Amino acid sequence: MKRRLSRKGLIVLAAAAVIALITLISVSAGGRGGIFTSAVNGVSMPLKRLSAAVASQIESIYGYMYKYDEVVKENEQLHMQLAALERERREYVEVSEENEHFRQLLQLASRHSDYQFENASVISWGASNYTSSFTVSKGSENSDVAVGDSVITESGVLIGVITEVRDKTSVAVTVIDTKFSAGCVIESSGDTAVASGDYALMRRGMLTLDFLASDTRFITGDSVVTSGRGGVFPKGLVIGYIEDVEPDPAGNGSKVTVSPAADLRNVMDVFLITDFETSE
Amino acid sequence: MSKGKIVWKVIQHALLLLIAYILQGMVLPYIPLRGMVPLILPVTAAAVAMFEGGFYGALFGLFAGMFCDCSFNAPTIMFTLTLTVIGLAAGWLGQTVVARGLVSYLVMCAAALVICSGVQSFSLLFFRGQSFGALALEGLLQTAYSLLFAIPAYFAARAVSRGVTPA
Repeated sequence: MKRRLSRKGLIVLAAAAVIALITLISVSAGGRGGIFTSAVNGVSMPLKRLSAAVASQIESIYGYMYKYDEVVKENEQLHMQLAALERERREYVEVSEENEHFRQLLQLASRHSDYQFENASVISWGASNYTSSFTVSKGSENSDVAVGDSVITESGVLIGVITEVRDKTSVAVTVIDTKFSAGCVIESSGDTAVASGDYALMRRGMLTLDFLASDTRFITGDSVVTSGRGGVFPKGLVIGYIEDVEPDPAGNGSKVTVSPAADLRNVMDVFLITDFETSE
Repeated sequence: MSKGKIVWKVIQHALLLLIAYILQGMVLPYIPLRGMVPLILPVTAAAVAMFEGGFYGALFGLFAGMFCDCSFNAPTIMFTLTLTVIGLAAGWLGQTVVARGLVSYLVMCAAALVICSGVQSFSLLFFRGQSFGALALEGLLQTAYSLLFAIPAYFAARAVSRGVTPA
């Protein structure tokens, strides 16, 4: 047995020597790892890849087990950072919108240096189906607002008129409400009329023109602006645009439908003209 | 009825009134259906009045009317008076000639809503010369739409009337 083992050992040793010799010759001849090295590498490569993948998985499981709290904390921090950034972005958008409003208002104020403004926010809309009214954030205690003051957008579009002043808030009716009535001019022709609310049109978000001269000329899309006559409204505030002209069924000239220039239901920030120089 | 139960019932009615007011003045105006906002406070007043009687109905109607005027941006006159009268009448009818069921309540509500529409359109019709047809159509649509909200108001008022107590 001993002899057999030693013989087998000698055979293996001889084989190893042969391999070593071949490798030595191969290396010294071509400068490479040799045929056996390549063969071993070729066979072991998939195994190496497998072991690397397994190691990576084990490492990730290890990481999950031991670094979970860290990851959660980091995730929370990132969420907070994201929320803060989102808040900053919103504030930035709000500030730039406000800035834009004030920039436009400045342009309006430079054109009409006699206007005295109060800025306000629309805080609620009336729930009645029979009126079109809203409440603004300025009242007698925190501003000089008075009944009859015009409510406009920053670009000089007339939204409505103040009808009631309370301590900290005021109520205004919009230009489509049946209480609204204003002397106006059709800008392209210079013809005058009275812009007023009509109940049926109010439900469609429109108003009408009354007291039109029979020879009044219109084109759909013409601007309708306040005339300034009577001293109730300043001159030149845009009320809306002519939407439709059709013969009056009652035979009194034409029935003119005007679409308000402002998107009434989406108005948020408004300006109240508390004083101005009358044109008459 | 013990004092505690009375207080609890008043609290529940106050809560009901508050919910109706929030819906009427702060929620539904922002989600109108084809430009239409339903009347929640009048139907709630009618429901409470039918189950609780004339006096309580008038009292609830008074507060509901004040809130209604407030949500309509109107001085507290028109609906304050109208809903007090509706509360009183609905309470009296509920205790005398009308059965306290859903169908009779809906009929009573429809009448109340028509009265409300009439009150709302009165000045438009007689002082501002608006078209009767347009106002009548609006009144009918408002009544029909508001009746949908009368059903939950009925069950809420009935639950309070039957003495739902805190667990």
